[in-house]
Amino acid sequence: MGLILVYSISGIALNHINDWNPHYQIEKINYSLVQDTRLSSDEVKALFSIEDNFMAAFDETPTRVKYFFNKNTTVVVDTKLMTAHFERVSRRPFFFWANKLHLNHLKGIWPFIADLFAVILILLAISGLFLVKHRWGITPRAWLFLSLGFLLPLIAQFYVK
Amino acid sequence: MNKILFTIFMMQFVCGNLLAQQFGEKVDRTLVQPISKILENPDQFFEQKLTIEGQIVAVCTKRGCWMDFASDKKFQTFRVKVHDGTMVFPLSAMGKKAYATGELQKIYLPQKLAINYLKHLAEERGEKFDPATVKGAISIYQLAPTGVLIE
Repeated sequence: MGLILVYSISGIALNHINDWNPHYQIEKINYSLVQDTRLSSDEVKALFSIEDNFMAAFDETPTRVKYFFNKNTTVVVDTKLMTAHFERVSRRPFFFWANKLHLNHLKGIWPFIADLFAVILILLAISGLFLVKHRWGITPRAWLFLSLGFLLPLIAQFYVK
Repeated sequence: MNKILFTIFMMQFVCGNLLAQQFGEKVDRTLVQPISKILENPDQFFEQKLTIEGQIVAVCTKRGCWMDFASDKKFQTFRVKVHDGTMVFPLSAMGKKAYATGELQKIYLPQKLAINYLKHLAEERGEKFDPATVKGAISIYQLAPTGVLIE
């Protein structure tokens, strides 16, 4: 039950990866600068009340500097556009972990657990057909769901480019 | 007690790689080439293994499938890109020093795609973009890594 929920909920989340970020939530703050001089890391920290430690800075262009802080915080200061853009990326609760399981990014023993779960689902699907005996082998309702289950992916393949 | 030890062992076994900063094969630091040198004359680096080093300045937030390395030359970056899922680079890598060993790839973009690509880059940087400045096809270069180490 737990695994089915994890896989199905993260499945929905991952299906819409083009519309949202299923792994991370990104906090963004924009700020307009009043001076066009290069800022020190302390000035950037003060500007956005950042408490995380400064890690490094990278000059993207002569007028654009990217500052890196701990806890996935970055600030891009553009002295030409007179803007400062703050971004803090944090893991989406539940989804980050569930997606990692779903995408099999967890190595170690996890792929084998996922394989075992898949085999159990296959056995459940096949054995479930024969639980209720009928003169046609399986019940008409089972035939309907069985046909639909094969028909939908077959139809879908014509739309796959 | 045994149960606790077993749980700790299993958690480490299952989740241990979450914290690992080594991806794929081991990097070969003897093959390090400056990024600026690679981008200056990329043709001489094809069909051979090479290693790059630098600070990670951007990471793909959706799939963790690419990272941009800062070059030894100012204002220059170089992308390390994997097929989705081969390696998943963590966002926590940003600002850290890293090494990547792999092969150089050339991506040819016809004029229309080049315009789209450069427009996207300009949008990301909040800059204005004039498609008329793109006079023809362009080629971009990236590293397809076999191993990455994030320090």
